[in-house]
Amino acid sequence: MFIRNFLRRTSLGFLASAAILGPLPALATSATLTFIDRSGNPLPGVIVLVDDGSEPVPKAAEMVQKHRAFQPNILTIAKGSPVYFPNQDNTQHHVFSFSAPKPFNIELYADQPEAPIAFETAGIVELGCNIHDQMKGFIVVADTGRIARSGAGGISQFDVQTLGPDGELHLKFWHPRLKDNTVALHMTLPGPLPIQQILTLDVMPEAAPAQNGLESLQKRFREL
Amino acid sequence: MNLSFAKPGFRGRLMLAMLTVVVVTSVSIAGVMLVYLFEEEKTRATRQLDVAGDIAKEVIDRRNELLISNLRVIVEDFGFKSAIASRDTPTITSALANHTLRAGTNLAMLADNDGDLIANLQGLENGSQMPFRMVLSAARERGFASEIISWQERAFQILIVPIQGPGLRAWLAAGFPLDSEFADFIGGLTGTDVVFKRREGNRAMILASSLPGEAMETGFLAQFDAIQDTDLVESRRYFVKALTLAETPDATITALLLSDRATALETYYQLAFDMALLVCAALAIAGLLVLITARTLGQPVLQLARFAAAIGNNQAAEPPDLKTTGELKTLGNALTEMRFRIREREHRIQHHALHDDLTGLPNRKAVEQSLLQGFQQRQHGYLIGFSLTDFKALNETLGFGIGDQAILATGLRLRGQLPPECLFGRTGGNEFMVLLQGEDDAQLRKQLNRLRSHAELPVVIRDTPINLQIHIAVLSLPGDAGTLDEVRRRLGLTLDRARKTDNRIAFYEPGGDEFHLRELRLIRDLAGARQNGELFMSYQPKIRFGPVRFTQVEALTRWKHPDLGFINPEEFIGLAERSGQIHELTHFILKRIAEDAQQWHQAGLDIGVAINLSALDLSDRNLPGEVLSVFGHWRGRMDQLTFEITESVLMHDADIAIQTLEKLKALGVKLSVDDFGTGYSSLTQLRQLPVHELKIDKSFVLNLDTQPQDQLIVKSTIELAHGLGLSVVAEGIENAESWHLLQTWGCDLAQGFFLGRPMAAGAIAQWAGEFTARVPDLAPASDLSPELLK
Repeated sequence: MFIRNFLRRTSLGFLASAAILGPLPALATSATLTFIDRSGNPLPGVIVLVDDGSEPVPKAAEMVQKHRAFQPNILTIAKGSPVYFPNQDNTQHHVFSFSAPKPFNIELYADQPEAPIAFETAGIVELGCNIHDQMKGFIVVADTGRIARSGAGGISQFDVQTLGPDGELHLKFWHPRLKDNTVALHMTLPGPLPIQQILTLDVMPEAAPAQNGLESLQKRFREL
Repeated sequence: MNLSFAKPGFRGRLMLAMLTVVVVTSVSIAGVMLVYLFEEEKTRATRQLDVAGDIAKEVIDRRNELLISNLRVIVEDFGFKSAIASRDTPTITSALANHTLRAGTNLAMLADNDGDLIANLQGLENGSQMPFRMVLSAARERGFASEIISWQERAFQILIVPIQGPGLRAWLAAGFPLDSEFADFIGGLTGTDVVFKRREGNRAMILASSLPGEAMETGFLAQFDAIQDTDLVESRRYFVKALTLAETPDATITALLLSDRATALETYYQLAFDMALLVCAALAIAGLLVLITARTLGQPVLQLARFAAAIGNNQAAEPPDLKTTGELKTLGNALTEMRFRIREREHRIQHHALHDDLTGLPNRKAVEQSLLQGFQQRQHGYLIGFSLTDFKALNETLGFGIGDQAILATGLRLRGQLPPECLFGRTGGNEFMVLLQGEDDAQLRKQLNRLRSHAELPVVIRDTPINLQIHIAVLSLPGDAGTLDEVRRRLGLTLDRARKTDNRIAFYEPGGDEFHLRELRLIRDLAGARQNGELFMSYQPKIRFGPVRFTQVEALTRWKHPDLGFINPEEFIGLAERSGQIHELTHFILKRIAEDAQQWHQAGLDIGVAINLSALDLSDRNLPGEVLSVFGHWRGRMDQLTFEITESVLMHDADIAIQTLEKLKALGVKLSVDDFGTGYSSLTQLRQLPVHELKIDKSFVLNLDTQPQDQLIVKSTIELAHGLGLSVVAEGIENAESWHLLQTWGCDLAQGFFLGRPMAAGAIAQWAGEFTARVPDLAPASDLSPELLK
């Protein structure tokens, strides 16, 4: 109860319940986080950015548009990496983002835009196509070298180079179904290593099977 | 005859009734109509306001949807979103102003996902929290929100929609004021006036209204303060319905829908005025109609009333010439008819009053009227009375029908024989009278004989020949009678006399009715005589023969009238019987005798009393009881009391008389037959009487000593009586010879002047003493002639 109230007061937007899990084997230098949703189901796909002092290493990446969708849907890159937006569809796309870390706008194009977009600021960049409303994608720009992702069991296990000066582990995590998915959430876990934690995230329910954006728009017009 | 109408008359009442009907009807109709209209107006207003309320809600909802759609289009706009994404406040603000103008509002704010202002057109500080937190919360939940709220003392419809783009999360709030324009718009659609009201605590204010400015005076709202949503409030000018648009703890926003009553009320008042006019007109017309009707109805009624009054007063009046028809005409005819009938009936009544039903001849009244005239004029002539002799017997034997026929026949016969001009009438059951002129008695006698002969011719009634007799009395006028009373009395007396004469015709003889007058006087005075001592008792001794002894007195009643002197007992006893005073008289006598007897007994005289009873006394069943009560304290033996009766007691009511006698006999008294030998009674009757004694009438005894025939009768009677077991009393003994004869024949008791005269009660004792001295002289003598002793 205390924890829930505490978390709510800290406006984390999620609920966490922590417990030391015994039987899971753990390395001395690692942390094991298990993400579940409010129903207790494991939550895969949670991206964890561990702030352990490891430096991000920029590296060119690609966000392909194919079948009127971004592939991969979520692209995780190190801060400073250039991203290419090759268009593999037979239609043009108008890829843009209003996200604060990197607003950009690539007017209608086919094939490969003239230049890659460089993401110099860490954060979550949400992508859209101005002519295809249903196309949604995310680029997670990390300012750390250590990035983890929860697997099918919602478990994310990673090595930790060093704890913070106060002996705690600082990290950020993000999931596309978070209520506010425009930012990654900060979290501080008490040391020492190894750390084992179960975290409950307050996520939106999984979206219904992707609706055709055109139909949705048409429907909206009909309603006018 | 006063026919004026002091109280409301026919006209007045008709007027009142008609006017009442008109007023009641009109007022009722008008009232019902006005009430109905009033209700109708209310119903209409209610319906109008209900519809208006629905329309207002619908309008507000529709506008919401429209505004939301507009806003959605705006927030989908790429340029708008791009502007927001630019994070450049002037850019964002200008884009906001530009785009929201398209939606027709200038209240617009942008807030970030946390609800902090990014840009606004209201001059609020950016970065501060956006107002309308509640609306924003609703929008977060539902995806959008639209609410009416009160802000900065105005009411707005606030709409909040999300702005979403890749990496863009923001909220657009736009406000549309509930202003006069909107009020006018709703008012135009609903046909009502609309007032937006805001209430904060106790403070209420009008936000906007479709009413012209002057209607919004101070206190205008106060009258609607208590209105709830569902209420229909009725004020002087409006029907009002309230719609609560927004309700927060701080303030309430209400839309008042006003239905103006002015038009309806105007119609209402106009109608009421028209109604009043109509009622007045109806009253005037009704009044006029009443006057005309009353005139056409009342005039003939008055005429008829006067006519009826004239008939009642027996005045000559012609039936009014009525111009009406129907009931009044019928009434008029009935009155006319009535007048004839009344006249006819009057004649008939008059005729009846003065004529006899049976014969049709003038009756007594008619004759007497004529007589009275004659008395006044002192006319000379004869008044002749005819009477059918023994008419009572005729009625009883042949029946009243034949009696009537006999009267009729006699009347007609006499009428036929009399001069036509003379007045002949039936004046009684079997009595006729005629007034004849003339003064010649001899001629009259002839005429009367002729009349009688003619009237007495046998008459055949129902095949029965009947012989009638009439007797005739004549009074000569004016000498014989001057009043009707005298006529009646003297004619009656003379008829009585005529009946007894041979030719059955009698003329009145002056003084003939004095005896009658004397009787009347005696009857009148008899009652007083008992009280003032005029009536008194006298007693005559009765002496027993063997041995000679004073045994009894006969009580004799005497009346000494102050003017007429001594009255014969037979006369006044008879009058007492006829005038119904006999019982009182007998009672008086019995009591007096009992008192006197008391004296004698106290004086040591052992004598009885003989008392005379009249025939009517014996028909009194109470007599034995009375005797017992009066003589209950009688000192002597009851057989010393003797009641003397005459043979005539058996002439009337023999049965009752015998019963009374038997009862008296049972009391132990002796009964004696008085005046024996003078009556008509037979020995058979004598045998029936329960008597003990015979009293030989004094006419046989007075001259007994000289009349051999009387001697024979008396002697035989004594023997006969003794044979029947009766004792014998002889009265009227005047001398010693008679005494001795009777003594010799064995007579039992004697009474007479020779022995003792009647005397007062007080003299009896002295007389008894003197008589004792005479007893030896009365003893049986041996020197009587032998032939007398046979």
